Amino acid sequence: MKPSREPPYWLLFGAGGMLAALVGPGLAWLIAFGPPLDSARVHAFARHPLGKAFLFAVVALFLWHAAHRLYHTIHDFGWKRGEAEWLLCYGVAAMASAAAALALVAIGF
Amino acid sequence: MSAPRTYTRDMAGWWRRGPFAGYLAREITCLAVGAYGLLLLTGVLRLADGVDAFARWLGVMRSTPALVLQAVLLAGLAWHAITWFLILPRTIPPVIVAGRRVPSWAIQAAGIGVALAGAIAVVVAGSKALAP
Repeated sequence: MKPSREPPYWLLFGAGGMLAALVGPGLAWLIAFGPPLDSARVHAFARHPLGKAFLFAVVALFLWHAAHRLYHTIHDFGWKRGEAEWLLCYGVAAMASAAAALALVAIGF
Repeated sequence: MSAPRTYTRDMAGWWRRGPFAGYLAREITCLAVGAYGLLLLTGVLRLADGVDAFARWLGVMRSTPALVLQAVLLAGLAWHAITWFLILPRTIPPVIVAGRRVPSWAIQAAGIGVALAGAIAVVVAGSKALAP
């Protein structure tokens, strides 16, 4: 039997789902309806290693969570999935993770 | 020889029936999580362009169309958080405390409580540390 390629994606799905459940509603409320954020302070937050780690985790894990769940949900609709669907779901997550990492390095320390 | 004609139950519109509607409402929240991740990615990209570029991004996020979008995504994220902890008893191994299995409702209640605490913590800490 061919080893399944599921476990690492399932772990990313679970980690992203947990992080989204814990900080997602708070972040969405803060940015949209909270007190107006100070751009210089957010920039300083993004220069700090812990701030970088948080921002990277949020962007990357949210997208890996969504990719995995969407890929499995379209199957439930009787959608015949091929490599294209797989690449679209997980490829977007991989590219977004890479873009976030590059941007966070470009912001500087 | 003709193909055997077996009975196949019609699956059309299955997601509108009974428990499947709830299942779908839960799984579809991944679109809100993914869309919000992409929205935050645009903010991270603007941060890399400097403080002024990010200030403009913050301004755009307060425009009416962006606020409508964020309100929809916020509802999706909140439903994700609630349903995530409602199914948690079925996605983790049994939790045993003092020789007894912790009941599902206790895990669900604790999880939703933690999610509420997390949301409040993000708003309070973010308002204190990142707003003038």
